[in-house]
Amino acid sequence: MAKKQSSLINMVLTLFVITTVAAVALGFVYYFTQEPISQVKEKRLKEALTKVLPEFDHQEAEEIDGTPVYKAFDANNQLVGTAIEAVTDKGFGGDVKVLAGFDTEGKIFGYSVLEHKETAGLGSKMGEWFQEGGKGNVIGKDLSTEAKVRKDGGDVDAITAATISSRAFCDVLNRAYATYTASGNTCAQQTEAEPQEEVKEEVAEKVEPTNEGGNDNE
Amino acid sequence: MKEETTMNNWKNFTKGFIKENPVLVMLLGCCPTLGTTTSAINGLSMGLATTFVLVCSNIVISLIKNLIPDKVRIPSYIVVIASFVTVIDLLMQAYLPGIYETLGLFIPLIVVNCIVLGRAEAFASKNGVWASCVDGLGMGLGYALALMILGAVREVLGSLSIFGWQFIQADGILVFVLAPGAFFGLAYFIAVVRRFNK
Amino acid sequence: MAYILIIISAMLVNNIVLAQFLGICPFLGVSSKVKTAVGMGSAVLFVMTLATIVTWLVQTYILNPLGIQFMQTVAFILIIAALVQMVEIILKKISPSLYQALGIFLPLITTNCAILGVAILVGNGTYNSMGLDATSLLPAIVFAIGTALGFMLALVIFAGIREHLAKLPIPEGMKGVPAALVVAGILALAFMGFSGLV
Repeated sequence: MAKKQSSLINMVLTLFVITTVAAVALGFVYYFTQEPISQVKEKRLKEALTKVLPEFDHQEAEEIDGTPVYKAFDANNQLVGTAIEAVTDKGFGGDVKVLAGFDTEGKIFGYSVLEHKETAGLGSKMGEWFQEGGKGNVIGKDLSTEAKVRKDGGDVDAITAATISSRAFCDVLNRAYATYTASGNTCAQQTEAEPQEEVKEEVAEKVEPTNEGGNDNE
Repeated sequence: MKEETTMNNWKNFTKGFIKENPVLVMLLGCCPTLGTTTSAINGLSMGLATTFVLVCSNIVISLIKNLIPDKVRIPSYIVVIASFVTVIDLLMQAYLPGIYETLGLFIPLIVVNCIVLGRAEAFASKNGVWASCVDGLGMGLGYALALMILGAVREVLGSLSIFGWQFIQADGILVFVLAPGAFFGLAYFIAVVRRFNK
Repeated sequence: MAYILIIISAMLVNNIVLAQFLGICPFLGVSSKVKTAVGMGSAVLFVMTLATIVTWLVQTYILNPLGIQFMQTVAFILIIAALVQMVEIILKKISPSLYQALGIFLPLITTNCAILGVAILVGNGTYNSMGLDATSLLPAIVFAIGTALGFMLALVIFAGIREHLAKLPIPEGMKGVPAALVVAGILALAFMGFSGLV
């Protein structure tokens, strides 16, 4: 077969045909993968929720100020917990996104780090560090008093050599709790929307050095 | 005659592993090599995704090579390659979501991986379907192998584990899973392969 | 203020070459002299800004409304290829002196994954926008400029080191690319010092 000439018509026609065929073919693939992709997303959300919430039957998704909130109900339509997907930009390497689950009393039931860019081996430990049995366990904590690392006068044990990542983690929890209260299911007595900034800065510097080691990289 | 073609095919297949290995000898496709080899699994899956695109685009391009006027050759190849990249992108989203998330941006970027366009231009546009397919497979698997080994080395040194299995419960030499480790790892890998190719 | 932060973040903290591993090919290929490094850097700055604007428009006004985001890869790479061609032709006509300076680098840019990478990051709104709306145009342009400046910075520093490297006695196997990669690794280590800056 002879090679086609590079005339203008030939060139335009070839490109047009190729792109059209490609677009149609991709349309087909897209059509057939749409279903599995949305199923996978659903499944992963469900798995993430099961990790951070008490046993539940079905969930309802809503958004408060752009923050996704998932309310979980048992088979009798009783609320068993709320999960909030909170983000903070205070991380060492960028945004930290955490799915935090609260039980009906507003205590942390579980959390799962969805996204972070913290340094591997230091800040990246936040996925296990603050879990039950981890060194900085926050499970069961009541966040009506803000979560803070010990250096800042709080009672959360920071990750060794990764204070900034730990602060970011506390911040993300506090944000999640703020959304949790805003979502309306708080125990009535502690509705004050805490002004988050002021206390932090002053206490931050002057607390006696802890035994975390001087090598504070993050 | 027949024996000769089998020999040829075998040669086409094996040349990608050491002698003409795309990353280690020809230094093509360095970006994903550095960016995705934080563990053996990641490196291997990136390599296999590239292999898929390489084989498919090589086949299609060698089929349609005579229908394309010379001057629009490159844009046409790019469209073919980009389509297969989108296919693997969608398939991975649907069936391998975990790996898809870790590889992230590097999946769509297979389009601009010089290996794929390079093989299309240098081999598939001049050879038959079967030879192109074998060439793509050999090159792709050679690439995947290189990525897996580099990933394995970085994983062993950096997080003291291999294929996700932690053999010592401790922190490794962190720098190897971070950006600088990628550069160091590839540098010494290339130097070693050069030594053996001599 | 947020715009300045975007530039610092894109240029230093998340340097596209040394932390994200994009655009490695030109980084290793054309950066043996400071002068060519500056030329390549400016060409990338020019094309990256332009490509980001065009792909942003296409994403916002064509792909998103029609719900065909899956065509992103195909569309973007074609746009970039066409854009580079156009810039080349126009530059030749309008400013021959600028063409002389940038011209030889332009064909290389189509397969520079940094351009496509930035276009995709902006199209998906997944870059670090420092609290600004990642889907609007201005932060996207600033991000593109910052990234390109980071590319140029890495390229120029690297070229400066390589000019000296050429005069040093280096073991046979490490000559050329492996030595360059080790230098890149050390540079990446240095750039890690910027993390936590914003």
